[in-house]
Amino acid sequence: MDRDIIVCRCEDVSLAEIRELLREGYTSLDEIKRIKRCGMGPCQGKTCAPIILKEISSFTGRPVAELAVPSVRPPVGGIKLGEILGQPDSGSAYPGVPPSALNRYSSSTKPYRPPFCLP
Amino acid sequence: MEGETQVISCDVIVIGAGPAGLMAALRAGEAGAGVLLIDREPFTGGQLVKQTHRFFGSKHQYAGTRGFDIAVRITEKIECLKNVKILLEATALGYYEDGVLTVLHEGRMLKFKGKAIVVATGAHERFLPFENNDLPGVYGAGAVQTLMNVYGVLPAKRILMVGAGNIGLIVSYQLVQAGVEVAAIIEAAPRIGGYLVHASKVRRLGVPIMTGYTIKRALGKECVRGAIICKIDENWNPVEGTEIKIEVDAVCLAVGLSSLCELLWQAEVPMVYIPELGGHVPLRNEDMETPVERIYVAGDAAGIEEATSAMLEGELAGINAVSKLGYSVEDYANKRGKILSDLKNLRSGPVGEKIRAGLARLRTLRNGNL
Repeated sequence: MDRDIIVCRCEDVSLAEIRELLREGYTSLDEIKRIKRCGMGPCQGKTCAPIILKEISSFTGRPVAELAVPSVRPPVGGIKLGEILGQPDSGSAYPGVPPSALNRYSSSTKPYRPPFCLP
Repeated sequence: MEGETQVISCDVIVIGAGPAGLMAALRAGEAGAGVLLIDREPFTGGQLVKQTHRFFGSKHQYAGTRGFDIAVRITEKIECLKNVKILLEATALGYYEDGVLTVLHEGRMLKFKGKAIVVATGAHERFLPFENNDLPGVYGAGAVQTLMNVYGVLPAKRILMVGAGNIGLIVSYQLVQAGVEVAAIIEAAPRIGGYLVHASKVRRLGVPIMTGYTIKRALGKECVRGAIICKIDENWNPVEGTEIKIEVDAVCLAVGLSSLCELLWQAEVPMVYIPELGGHVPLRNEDMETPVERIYVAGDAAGIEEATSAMLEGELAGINAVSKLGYSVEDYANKRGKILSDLKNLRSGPVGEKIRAGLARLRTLRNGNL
């Protein structure tokens, strides 16, 4: 039954799995995140964190307001690998990285200028 | 470093072009500040673009206007200001210690630095744990509105609405308008959470509103074929033997929103947990400034309310951000006073009870922390 209740849609974690972890003694969102990857998918915990916090609260008897939440680090959304690697001067500077991953600036050496002016 | 994107500076960066962000950018721009308004969508308006109903209830100038028209009107005003730049399809991804904001735009990571920042990033929908809640056909109310009102796609033929707050009621009305049968609106609380004007509208259309009920299970293998609902007791536990089977091809969840405040966490704005305001919300003063100087919040990012209060909070954040930067806002004291009294009026009455309790708690925590 609890197996059919999904708590984390990104990483496909059920309520049963969360409750098992609580019984094993993992009673913080950070620990549960490290074990089950809840909060590490595309939605970054927006779906599962409130539900898991409530579960932790009812299991431990501590109010949600007192429970620690994991750090929120940038970037908050998905970005392409090429952007993380920075601007290449040529394709060869990034061995093993396919040109498609380096996206549109694989051949450019010019500093990027945004397509607009600010007031 | 060669090829590294330069940091682009301006006076005020407003993140999010929904009702709060639009008004913040407008008011900051009117004072003459250089403003950058960014939004991840290809259009301005945020949730306003889905609001097909006329706004009411407040004496605010936009009462009587449909939500999407409000967005167009404010945007047109902003476009008349040469010192405000609107950048669309631009997603703020990170706020760093040195005050740099990274923004993904056209596949590039741009870096911005604002002397003041208004975070008007809105909210995200809450999810509900029940059996088979991952079946295709289980929607958030936001998704249903986007499908219907933005893309003109019917989400279902017969739908169960979970939640009788304003969103659940309004989206039910819009579903009926679009030709979808709303089998029922169920609400776990003992009473309807939204305005009774909206509740009466859907009731007149023959949609039953069942309070004290929750969804126990979605039925179906490949997609939603039905739902089992049941009564819950005062401790929110299901009551055995009260199950009712409803045949629907979709379930719409309108079970509340939480503030979208990742950038505020990153900026190390102190956050507090206040369920009445939607969960974790930033500390901020009456002028919408957070304890981190020159970082302002407005709208749902500051605590869940609705579009009219978001617009007012946006105005407040806008005029306060620019006055802090030394720009003179015409008739500042009167404008500020008017916005604050409008907000107070808006939050008066029984529907504002939760908000008032939440804000009182926020004030207590702020006075303890600052």
